[in-house]
Amino acid sequence: MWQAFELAMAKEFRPLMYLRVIGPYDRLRPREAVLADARRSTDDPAHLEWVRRVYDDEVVSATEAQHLESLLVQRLDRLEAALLGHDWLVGSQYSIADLSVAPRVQMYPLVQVPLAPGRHRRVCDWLGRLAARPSFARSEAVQPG
Amino acid sequence: MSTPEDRHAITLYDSHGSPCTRRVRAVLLEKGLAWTTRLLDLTRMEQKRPEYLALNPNGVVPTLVHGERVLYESNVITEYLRRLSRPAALPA
Repeated sequence: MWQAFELAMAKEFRPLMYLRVIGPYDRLRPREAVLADARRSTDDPAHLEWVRRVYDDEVVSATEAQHLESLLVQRLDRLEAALLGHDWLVGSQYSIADLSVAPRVQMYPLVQVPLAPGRHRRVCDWLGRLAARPSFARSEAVQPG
Repeated sequence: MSTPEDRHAITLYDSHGSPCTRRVRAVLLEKGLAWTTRLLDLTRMEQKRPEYLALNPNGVVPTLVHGERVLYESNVITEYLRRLSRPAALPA
């Protein structure tokens, strides 16, 4: 169930990630440099068109972005309800379910969807419990190759 | 108890800022497994390079290579890792 929840959340999250994080990051460099890098990786027109849309801030409209934000907040509401009386999403211990869902939720602020303790206190506490686990804390960074 | 399969090297095709690769890293760490990172720059579409598509036709991260096995979809990878016999407390 929680893996399906995460897959659905990903569909709502990714457009905002491209709109609000990757697009601005790309635009730190000249447009042609970004497109040239993409062409070195692929000649697939659909992939190259996607890179152009991200650069040109055409991922989704402002209205659509607002809608996606509201869907993501509804996900927090569902998590908040699921954590009522529970420290973890499934049963009484940390499990794959927590690992499936938490990494993306923790990234909400990056796409400008705040994690507010006022409305989602249990979600914030749950993320705090996860952060206290050494393996989860260390997993935040890519390991050197 | 470890099996011969568990002793194969693990390679993770990873990228910065991906929650999907992060959950794989978390399970690897939880299980105490060592791995080698192959880093892809998604802003340069390296996940769409032909040599990567040959491993993972979906052209997304993560991909995990364990011996002869190539796995993708983070939920499939985490389930695979969870079932590896190396002892660790990580219920389903």
